[in-house]
Amino acid sequence: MKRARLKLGTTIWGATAFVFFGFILLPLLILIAVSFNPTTMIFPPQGFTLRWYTVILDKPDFLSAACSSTVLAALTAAISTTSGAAAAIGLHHYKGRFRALVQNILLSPLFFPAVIVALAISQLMLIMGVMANLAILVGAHVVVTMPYPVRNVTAQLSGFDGRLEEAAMTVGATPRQALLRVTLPLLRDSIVPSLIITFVLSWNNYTVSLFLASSDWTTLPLQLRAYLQYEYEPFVAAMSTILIIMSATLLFVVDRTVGAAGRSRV
Amino acid sequence: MTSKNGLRAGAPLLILPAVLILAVFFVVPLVWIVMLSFMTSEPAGTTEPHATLANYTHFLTDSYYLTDLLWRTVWLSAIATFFAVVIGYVGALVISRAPEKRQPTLMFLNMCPLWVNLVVRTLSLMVLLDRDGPVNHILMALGITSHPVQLLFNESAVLFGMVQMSVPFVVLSLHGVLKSIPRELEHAAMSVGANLFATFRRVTLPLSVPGILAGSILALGINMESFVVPILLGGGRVRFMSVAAYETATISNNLPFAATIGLVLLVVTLTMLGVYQRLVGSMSRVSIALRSA
Amino acid sequence: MYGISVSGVSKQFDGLPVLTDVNLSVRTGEFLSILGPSGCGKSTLLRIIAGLEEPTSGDVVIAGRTVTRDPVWKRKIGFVFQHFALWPHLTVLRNVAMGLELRGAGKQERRDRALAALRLVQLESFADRMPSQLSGGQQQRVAVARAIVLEPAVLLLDEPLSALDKNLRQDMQVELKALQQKLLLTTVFVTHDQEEAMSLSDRIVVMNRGVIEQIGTPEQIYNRPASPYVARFVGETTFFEGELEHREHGTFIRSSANGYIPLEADSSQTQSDRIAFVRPEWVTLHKPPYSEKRMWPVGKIERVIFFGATSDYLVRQGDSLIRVKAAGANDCFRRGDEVELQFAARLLPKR
Repeated sequence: MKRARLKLGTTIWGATAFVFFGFILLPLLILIAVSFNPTTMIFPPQGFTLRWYTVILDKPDFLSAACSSTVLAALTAAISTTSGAAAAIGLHHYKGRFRALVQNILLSPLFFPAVIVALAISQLMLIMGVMANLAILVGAHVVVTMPYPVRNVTAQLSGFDGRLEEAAMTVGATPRQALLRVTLPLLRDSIVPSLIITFVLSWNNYTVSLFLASSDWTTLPLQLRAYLQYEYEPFVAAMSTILIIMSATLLFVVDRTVGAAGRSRV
Repeated sequence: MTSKNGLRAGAPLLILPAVLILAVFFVVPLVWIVMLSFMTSEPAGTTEPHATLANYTHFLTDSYYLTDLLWRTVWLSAIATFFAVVIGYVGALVISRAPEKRQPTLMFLNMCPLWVNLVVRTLSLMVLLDRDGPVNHILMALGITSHPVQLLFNESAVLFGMVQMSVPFVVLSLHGVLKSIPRELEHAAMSVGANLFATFRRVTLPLSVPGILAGSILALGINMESFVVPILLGGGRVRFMSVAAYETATISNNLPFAATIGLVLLVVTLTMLGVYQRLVGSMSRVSIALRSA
Repeated sequence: MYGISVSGVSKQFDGLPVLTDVNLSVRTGEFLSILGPSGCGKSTLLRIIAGLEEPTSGDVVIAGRTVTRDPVWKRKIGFVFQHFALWPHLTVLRNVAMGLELRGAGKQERRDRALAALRLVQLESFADRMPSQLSGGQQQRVAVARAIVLEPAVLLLDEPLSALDKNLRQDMQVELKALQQKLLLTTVFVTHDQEEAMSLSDRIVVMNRGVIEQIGTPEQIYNRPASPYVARFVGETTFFEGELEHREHGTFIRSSANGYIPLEADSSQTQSDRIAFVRPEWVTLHKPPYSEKRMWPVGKIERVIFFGATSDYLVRQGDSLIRVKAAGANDCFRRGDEVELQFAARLLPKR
């Protein structure tokens, strides 16, 4: 009797899990299926073809937008993670009065609607007569993504043993050397995921790029959106499928890095 | 200068780059936006450089803006948050009760949508809710409607999109809290005769309130400030604050007013979150007190 | 020639005094322990000597050079932390060799010298392992190797054995002392374990709430404590307080609690006239009939504590419970026996 109840319970859990994950993943799966549809962007597909994937190669706009997005995301990731991690380390050691204030300011872009930030920067550009360029775009993306490295590195630092840095100094390391040889290598578990997270956030960013992009620097999401409006065909689904797979892979990599490190800390 | 001071002395230098970048690309633009919201613009698109509250009074007195825009945004966000929390709670529950080995995989699956491009995600919803899409097919097959329903480019689509967007965040917030509730407490309840529902209602649910609070605040913030979902799934027909700000800036070319809309959105969002946190926080304290009495 | 000289060092944290006017000299090649309970400031003092903390006032001199304003990375010290502080992302060899790397030593030299240091702590074969693969005792030995590889002027150890099991601790004590004597390193060893301090040190500094109570050899600390605190902290003590009285067969303290307590013959002027103490092993017990002169206190055995190799008696005398060490295996006193306690208490010095 009890075993039957247990089995029923497990089945209910299983069914609920199935429904839940179906809810959040089904749309993406449907989109992937549509990318194989030879005719239109309709599900269920009426056939199977891979030709939309080859069509992508004929779309120079897409390829150049992908290129731009990648460069932008790489720069954003590098600058955002470096300055964010440095700030987190600095805040960790800083005992001054403004510590909490600075920390809140660094995290505040998370609370501001992206529209405001984008509007503000584009406005300022207009006033100053500066043309939209890569530097401004990177600056905006860095602002939007920096809270993540700051938060992640701060979290790892809170459990960090300060004696490790002191030990380095007792064998002759200056604070700078201690930082490079002891602190940074040990912060790898929060810095590497931050690099990837900021990269993805910048790569996927639509709102900020909408306000600040120009004809020289169209990003991938904007290009995708243009296709949605003007060329609604399955190749868009094919592009999307590639993006989905890439995102999932990057997430997997981050998962592994944090997971493995977490296990080795035991 | 001894070592402690060495570490401490170098600290400002490390913090400087981040602060500089934020100052230039965030603080200064924000200050400008606030200033801008107090200016007016001429039909020609130029701005008048004297301070006035005209924009704000215009916004707050015009029912079009107040009820149609602001209230609609709040209302839609609240509903979306509610559904997101309910669905997200179910998801978090399922994941936290799954076998230990499966949990990382399940969390991975939960996080997947968050890492996919927003445009792609809205596209997937467009395919889903299309007139010839699977949802319509199912509805017709079940006999609920006789011809395809317009599911896209309206409020329902935006609502659905917002729920879809925020559910993974709710799961993230709740997962940790649910995992930390000791199973023994539930077993203890069952051993004194509570069935699954009673155990859930009396043990699990009250103890997970902090997670619900955190998750709903996160979801509410995200939904209030969302831009991509309303603009792509709304098809220009759904009034939403952030979209209105964008359109006022680009189409109407009325930048000061766009700034006003954006700032009102910010203030209202932060106020709502603050009040909500205060309210639920005190309620959870009351319920804890009641339980221990 | 002094290895380390601390003069007038005081330290305040947020206005609260942690160290007050500490003066201390460590001779070259000496093994000095700083002994005290938690919170007495001993670790702070050690860290000030190391340069990990800055004193509010006072000076520190190491090997003839005033280092008070020198940051820790400029002082030629070796430091061993209580919880080892080995860098988890580096091998044992690289942990030991990091100091050499920082000095720009070549790869072969680094390897040779690091292995030599590891050889001194018998861990040469562990050179390529990671710290997480080592036991607590092994990690501590790596920490010691790391501290001595640079041939520092002084070796500073902050409760290095407190994190280890008791058995392991005793083995490590022997090894540390042997190493120190071999290298003739000026060593300062912080601990709260008085047995550890007594067995290892040439001299001991006893601290209490930021102040030095006494500096002396273990023998001096044990037999001639400078204050009730020191007497109580090191070894077992019974105190007697009262008025001095000179009688025909000697000097006594007369207390309301215990009656007449006999004192040592050579009570001098520098000693207090109120407090005396006695150690358990100074007392011999005798059964009736008692000596005719009746000058010894009489008590009743309340408890016998059997340790295996030895026994202790707790003797009720007057208002006090005096702990007495059994004379040997043949001691046959039992609970309830009335006994005569023959001893001479020692007066504590004047404050």
